[in-house]
Amino acid sequence: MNFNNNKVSAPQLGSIILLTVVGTGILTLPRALAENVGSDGWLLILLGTLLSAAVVLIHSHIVKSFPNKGYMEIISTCLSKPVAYIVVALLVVYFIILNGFLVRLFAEVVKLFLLLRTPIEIIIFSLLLLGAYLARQGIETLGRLAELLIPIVLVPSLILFLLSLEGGDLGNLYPILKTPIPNILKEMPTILFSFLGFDVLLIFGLYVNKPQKIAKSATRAILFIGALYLVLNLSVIVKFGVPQTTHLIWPTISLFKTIDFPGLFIENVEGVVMGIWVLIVFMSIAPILLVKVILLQDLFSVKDNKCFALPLLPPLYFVALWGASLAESYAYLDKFVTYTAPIVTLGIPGLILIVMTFKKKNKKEGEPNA
Amino acid sequence: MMLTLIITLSMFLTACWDKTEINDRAFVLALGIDHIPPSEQPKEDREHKALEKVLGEHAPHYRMTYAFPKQMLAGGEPTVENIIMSSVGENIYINERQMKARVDNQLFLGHLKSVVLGEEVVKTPQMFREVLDALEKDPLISRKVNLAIAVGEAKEVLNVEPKQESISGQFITDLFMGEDRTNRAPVADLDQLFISLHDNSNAAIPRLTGAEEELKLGGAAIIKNYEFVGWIGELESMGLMILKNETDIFVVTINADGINIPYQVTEIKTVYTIQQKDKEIKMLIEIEAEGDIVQYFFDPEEDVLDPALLEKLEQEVEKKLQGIVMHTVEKLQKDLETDVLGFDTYIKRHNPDLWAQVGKDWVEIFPTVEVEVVVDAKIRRVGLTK
Repeated sequence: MNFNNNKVSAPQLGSIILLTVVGTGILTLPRALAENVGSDGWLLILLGTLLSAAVVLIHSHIVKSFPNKGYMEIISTCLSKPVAYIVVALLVVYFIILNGFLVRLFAEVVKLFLLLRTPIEIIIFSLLLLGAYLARQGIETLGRLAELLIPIVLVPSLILFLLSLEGGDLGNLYPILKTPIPNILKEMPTILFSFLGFDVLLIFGLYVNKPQKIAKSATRAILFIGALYLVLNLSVIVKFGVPQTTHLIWPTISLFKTIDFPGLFIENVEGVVMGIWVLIVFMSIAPILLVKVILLQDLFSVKDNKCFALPLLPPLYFVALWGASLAESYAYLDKFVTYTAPIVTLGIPGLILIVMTFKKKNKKEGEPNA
Repeated sequence: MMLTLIITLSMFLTACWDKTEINDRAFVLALGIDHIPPSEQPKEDREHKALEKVLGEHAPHYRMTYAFPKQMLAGGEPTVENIIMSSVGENIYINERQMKARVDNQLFLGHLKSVVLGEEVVKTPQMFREVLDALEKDPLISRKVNLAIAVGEAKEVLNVEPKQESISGQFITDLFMGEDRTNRAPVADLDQLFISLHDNSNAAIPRLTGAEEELKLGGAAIIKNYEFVGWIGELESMGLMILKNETDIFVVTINADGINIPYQVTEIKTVYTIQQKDKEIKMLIEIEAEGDIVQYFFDPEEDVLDPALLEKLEQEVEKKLQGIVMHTVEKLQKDLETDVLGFDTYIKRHNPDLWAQVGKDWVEIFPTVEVEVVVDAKIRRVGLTK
């Protein structure tokens, strides 16, 4: 393995995390929040950001404590080898399913807005092929691409957000803090799922050249995502108000449909929006694909992982086409994520953390005697 | 491996299911939708009786009128023709398909500018809701499209060829646009209407009246629970726009000592406040206006810069504005009994506890709400002479 071609810097990892996370939640989050907590969505986003940042700190602490060890090795050190095999195998399945749903969502939106007559299978397949190509190039390419894409994605999005505010009504943010606390707690999972994807940190941590910087970059990425979600949610609510938002499947896209800037050289900015969004989703699918490739490499303990990228496509393709309709896919995804995501993001790292602290204690207690 | 990958990829990239050349598209600028009562339906449609037994009864009661410009190459000089075509069908999309058999270009709604609904459409709530949903669901139709209700039939309005601009779709759009757009009809693009209708199923939609060679945008149709309940006039529309903070520059005429004085409002702001005594709800509407006297009287006996006179004139303006607004409120409360004033939204936002009590019966409570209008008008400038 060429060592030079396999390292990313901590900011690059942050960029990867940012793009991976944003791709999953950005389209539906405002609606989910409006449906359940009305105009108080911003509060949930704040809480969710803080919570995710805390979890990310745990993740980066784990990665930092085991320098030069992959996730599989970390698990086997802490929880014994057979457990590691099972956990990693399940992780691969988990990521395949998560990724598959994301691919489906992407394909549905592209088909609806851009390619009316193109068969959905072709849209999915071409996207997957491109993702596999990127995964074969390894993490360094991915890191560089992420770093490169962030300004390309963010600058136009921020301009579009500003343009979309024209004609909004700040009064839509009222009433403030009128949601009962139990409702807010009940909605915590929704917001946490929109941060889903930062767990790639556990797998990619090994490839960061300065592990002590991971925590800073990763939390910065999470805080940035939180700010982005906040801006997004506020603009949607200010523009549409709660009752209208609950009726929009993808409020974010509809938001951009309302932009009408006199003198703007293009009339409908959907083209630009879709372009940005394709980049975001692609950068959300590709890292997860690479995660699976790395996990499989660990699982079979082989030196070269390039051979795993293409065989992953057929299962992904089938998961993507699993749901008969968009509604069914969303329902499956919701159920799946509710049960598995807490285990993956909190359960396993939590266990590792507990074992780590015990071992440390033992070590400390053992040292004076030795 | 790399080579095969590239070859496969490029193979997929060559496929173009959705290719359309731009000159093969007909850019529909205005869309008219009419409701046709069954008795008026053309006879030949009834011939499909046998088929209807199999497919179920779907009376084709939609008449869609498409207005699009088409470039004609006649004798070297390209001219733009205004093309208007209609089709009758069961719903919007059937019509669109039927039209494809009669138009050589592909009808494209991505640049649609305005939709005109016939009066009958809003009088049929079922159909009105069908139309609204079709417009909201369509990924191509922008939420910035303007919507107007035609007096009579939408087809008639679209068929008017205005003197000033032969492309009627463009003309209707221009009526809605611009700095100096009329303040005698409420602002309404699809976005605002959807928000309003999702909120309380009421809305005020601009009225479009067609004459021989002219079109006029003024007044509004009041929709209550997705059903047309009545028109409001141009002055009442102005009152509505004042109440909803949707207008800034307009002129009212006041009369002082037998002189007609136009007062040009340059800034106006309305604030609602709710005053609640037990179960009685009272709405206090405070309006602050600023403006100029644009004309007074040649060689006047009185000095227009005299503060005492200005104060007198300000009082006249206040009386006038108060009258317009109060009249609008009364018409909406007593005659039409429809809350398009945003009272409900205001209570929902600023007094959610009260809304929890009155929200259910708001339709009955709204006409009984006591309203007080307080206007504070300022005259800032008087032009070049005194």
